[in-house]
Amino acid sequence: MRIPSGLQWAVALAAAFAASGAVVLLAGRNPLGVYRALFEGALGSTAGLAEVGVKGCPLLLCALGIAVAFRTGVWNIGAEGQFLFGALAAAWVAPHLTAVPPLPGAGVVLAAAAAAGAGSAGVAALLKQHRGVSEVISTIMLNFIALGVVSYLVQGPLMEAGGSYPQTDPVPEALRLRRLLPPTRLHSGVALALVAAVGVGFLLLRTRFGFAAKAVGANPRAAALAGFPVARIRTAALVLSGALAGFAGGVELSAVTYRLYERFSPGYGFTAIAVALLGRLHPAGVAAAAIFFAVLEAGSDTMQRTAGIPSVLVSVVQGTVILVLVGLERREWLARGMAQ
Amino acid sequence: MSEAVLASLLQSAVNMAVPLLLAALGELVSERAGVINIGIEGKLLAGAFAAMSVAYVTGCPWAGVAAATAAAAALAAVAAYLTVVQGANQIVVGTAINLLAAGLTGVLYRAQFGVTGAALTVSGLAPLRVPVLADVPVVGAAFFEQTWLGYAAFALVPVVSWFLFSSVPGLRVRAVGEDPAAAEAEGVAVERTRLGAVMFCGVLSGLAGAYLAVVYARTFIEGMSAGRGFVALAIVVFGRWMPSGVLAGALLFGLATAIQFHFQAMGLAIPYQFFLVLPYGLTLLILALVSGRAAAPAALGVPRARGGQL
Amino acid sequence: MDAGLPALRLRGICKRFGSVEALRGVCFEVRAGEIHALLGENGAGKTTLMNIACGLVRPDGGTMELDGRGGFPGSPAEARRMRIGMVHQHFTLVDRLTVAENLALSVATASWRLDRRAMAQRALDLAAKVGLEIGDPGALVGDLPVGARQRIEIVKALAGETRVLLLDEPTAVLTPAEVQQLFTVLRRLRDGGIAIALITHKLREARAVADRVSVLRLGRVVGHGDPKAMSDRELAALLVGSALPTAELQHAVGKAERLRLEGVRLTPEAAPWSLAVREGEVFGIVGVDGNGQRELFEILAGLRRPAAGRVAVCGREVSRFTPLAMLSAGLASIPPDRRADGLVSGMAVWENLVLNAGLLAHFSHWGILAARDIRRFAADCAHRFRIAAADVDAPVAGLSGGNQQRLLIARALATRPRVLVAVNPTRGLDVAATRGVYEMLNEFVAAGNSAVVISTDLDEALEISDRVAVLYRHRLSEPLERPFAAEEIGLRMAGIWR
Repeated sequence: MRIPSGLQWAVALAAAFAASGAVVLLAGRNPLGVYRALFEGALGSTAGLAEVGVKGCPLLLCALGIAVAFRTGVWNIGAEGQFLFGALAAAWVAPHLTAVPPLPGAGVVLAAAAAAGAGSAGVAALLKQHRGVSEVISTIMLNFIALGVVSYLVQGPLMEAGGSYPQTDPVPEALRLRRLLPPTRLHSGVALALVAAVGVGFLLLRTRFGFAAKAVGANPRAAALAGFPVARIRTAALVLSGALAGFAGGVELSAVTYRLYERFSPGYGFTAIAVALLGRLHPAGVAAAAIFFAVLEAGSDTMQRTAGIPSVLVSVVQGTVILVLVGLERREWLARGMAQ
Repeated sequence: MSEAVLASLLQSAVNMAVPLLLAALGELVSERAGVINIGIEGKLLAGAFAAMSVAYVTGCPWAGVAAATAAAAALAAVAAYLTVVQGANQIVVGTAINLLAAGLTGVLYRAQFGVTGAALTVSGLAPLRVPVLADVPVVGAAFFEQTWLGYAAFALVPVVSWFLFSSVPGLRVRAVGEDPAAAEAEGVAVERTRLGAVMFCGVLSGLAGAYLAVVYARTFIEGMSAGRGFVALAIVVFGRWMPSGVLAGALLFGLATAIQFHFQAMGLAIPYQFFLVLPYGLTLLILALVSGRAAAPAALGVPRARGGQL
Repeated sequence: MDAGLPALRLRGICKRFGSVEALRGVCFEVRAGEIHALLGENGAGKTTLMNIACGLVRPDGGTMELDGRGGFPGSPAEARRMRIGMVHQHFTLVDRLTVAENLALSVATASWRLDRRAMAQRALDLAAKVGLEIGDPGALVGDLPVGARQRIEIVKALAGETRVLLLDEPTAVLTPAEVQQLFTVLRRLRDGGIAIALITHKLREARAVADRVSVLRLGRVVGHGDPKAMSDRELAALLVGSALPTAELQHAVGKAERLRLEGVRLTPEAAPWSLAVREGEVFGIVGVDGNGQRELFEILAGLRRPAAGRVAVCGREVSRFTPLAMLSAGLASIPPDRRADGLVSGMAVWENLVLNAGLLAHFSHWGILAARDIRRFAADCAHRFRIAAADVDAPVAGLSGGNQQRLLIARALATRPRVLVAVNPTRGLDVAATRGVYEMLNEFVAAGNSAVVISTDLDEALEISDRVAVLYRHRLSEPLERPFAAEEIGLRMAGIWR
């Protein structure tokens, strides 16, 4: 897979900011003022920078998982659902662990989250391997199923004791991930995400599995002929992908929200697809793209407050960057991916 | 369950089914030609926004419908150019289209109508009552008190069916989705056929968005497509890529959504989320039982390599 | 015979694909009411020539005239409007459409309507006019046997007022009885005034049905004439070339058996394949595409499990047919299509050099790649096998065909196999690159190993093999020993058994 040239990047970013600038003009505001508010909001204060970390953490973890899958030629659209299942498992396990010492306890919570994400991706993997069901469709279905299951549980069996809100009991304080810089929300989960990025980078670039995965994604016939177990590698990539998204859900729960409720995810799992694509499925690129997106997300609140432009403007930037990069690259990039 | 509850349940089921049916019929034609549109969600949203704002400004819901098709078609044109002409990955482009549409509609909506919580309402399309039939108990109001968009959606089922299976362009669509190389060797213009199919899907998802804005809600809410584009993708799979199957799927998904709103009145002991999840679980189950790829067009999602089979 | 203007005349046609000159100034014509056979081996350029005439390929040079009017068709649709019909070697039928639908697809109609009954009737009428049996027009093409599909292809090509009919190896999949039927049809069409170009590699067929024959070899027409006035031997000599190199080989063939196939069958009904390859030997298997090469390769590469029979590598029977099992048994393979099956074009040279489960296991510890060892290995390979890459980090797609092929062989050899199976190892390579590949093979067998070369190129098989067997219609002949009677083998490839 080719990394886009610096020029392609520059053109894509310029086009994206120009396009969203045009939208801002249409909305009757000054684009420069809006962008200043955006970047000042994210980068102009400690609180803003901390928020970049908070937003970047789930984006990075989910996008890493998506990168693992997409590189292997497995189109996992289900990070959103896997993220929710992860959070759900964490929320369900955490209250039962009051007797466990904090550190292993938090570990169990996060492991449960990763396992739940992996399990839900595993359903799609099984359907693909044994019944030939397209993972694109099955992971989309599982997204909706996750939404429904969460909705039911937070209003039913897992609803907080005594409370009247449709949300779960909070994660016991001892099991929460530490806040690093109170009063900001920056938490130690961000460090875990960075470690995960290094780990996934190592896995993809330095191990036999990563090598085989890349070969399977780029040319499954050649990979099969070279003796690689293509179906097993695809399954492993999808399950690992789900584990990372589930882990992200667990981190978000035990570091940021502490509780699970219906609108738990603002669409991290979907945005992460864009992050992974923008990072060209390369771990370092994904990390850079996650930071870029997190800056946009973190600054968007300030932008909305001070410049009066709604935060969804960043979606215009995100969408345009991808479209322009795809347009610049013509047919080479990823075009073969879906062929299997 | 009383007859009144049943009638009202059925009516909202049909109302929920109409936009799903429109979008899914468009997606069906596109997938039959070999192109999958993850971006259908964004096209729906863009259609809904365009319909609402133009209807609001002009006071004419018909103008809104026209604007919706134009907006969705514009997005479809971008996607079609990138995926069909340039051979870009269809999932990548669809994801970007969804982001773009969410951003554009969100920003423009607030710019135009402010952040006011008070929902703006527009004059919607008036329902056309079919005499006599609309008075049939239970089903009458559901099926025969629709707007023309609703009737159009149902009428499109046989039309699409006829197009695909009894017309020459439809035959080309199917050939291109099954085996583009063979079709090309037979003189079918593969690119043009696929472009046409994607644009058709764009227009229909625009209509679906218009229905949401000027018939169903009579307003616009950010993100009001609420996953219906993805549901349309599911319905096409559920319907085994057949128009009649798509109709059944749309009605089932519509009914499942409607039950959520009526379950209290119906006095059911099952949590409403069961119905939220049911159609998706059912789709998965059906896919698992009848092996997945069997009915899908063979070249679905595969960009065409240009220049024949050398 | 109509002695007027040729219906179709191609002059000075040139076409290059990358570094390969497929056609070098070919002239070919067909008159109305004539069957003109174009004879040639695989890779001679026959199909490319026909694809140019039917609008699928644009030539680099030359002219085309149809009934005196100049110009190449720009697309298959235009060719059809010019009333040129083509029956492709690989069917261009859409499996999941019905017979009638497939026929309707190719016929340009003004009407939008696709009347099922009328469509079915038209299909039957067309078939009746041509005199071919197509069965139920409502049947799905994918459910039909190949003979029936072939007939539909021909009916399709004749739909509309076709003036020129091009057929590319139409008999490859037919039974002898079906072939006779086809020839009867072709003769009738000819007598009806249609110009027919028949591409084939089978001498007997050309002789049986053609009024004129041209022989294409390596992109040039090397002879033509009346097939009835030419002997099989003359034609075979033209077909395979005159200067057949039968230089002495230096192979020291030993006694030990490296590879043995015993009664291997693709399907329970198929003819059994048996062969034994000894140490130090290059064993050639020649035949025209579609006669079982692909299947034989797939069995040897572990991609396909035979229905019956035994395969033994170095005396040990293979029980699992997976690529990895074959590799660990000591058999490495080089696939027929370098780009599609051998290389990963998005990867660098060094990555492609270790793209093998066995090699990769060797170059990793606990699943972690030994990057330094791999790079040393890759650089060493590139140097030893003269893979001309700027460096091992360069993308493999930038290499020339010869370098790509050397890379594949280098990789296969790195697994230290005792048997190497290669399919068309020099297809598309120039003379120097071909030499290089042969040297690698010779060196390999000189170390007491064996190679199986499955090739459609008779020259190649004869030049490097110690023994050659012919694969024709999924039947594997007894091996022939050196010195080879080239004509004999040529005749066998063309389906004439002595």
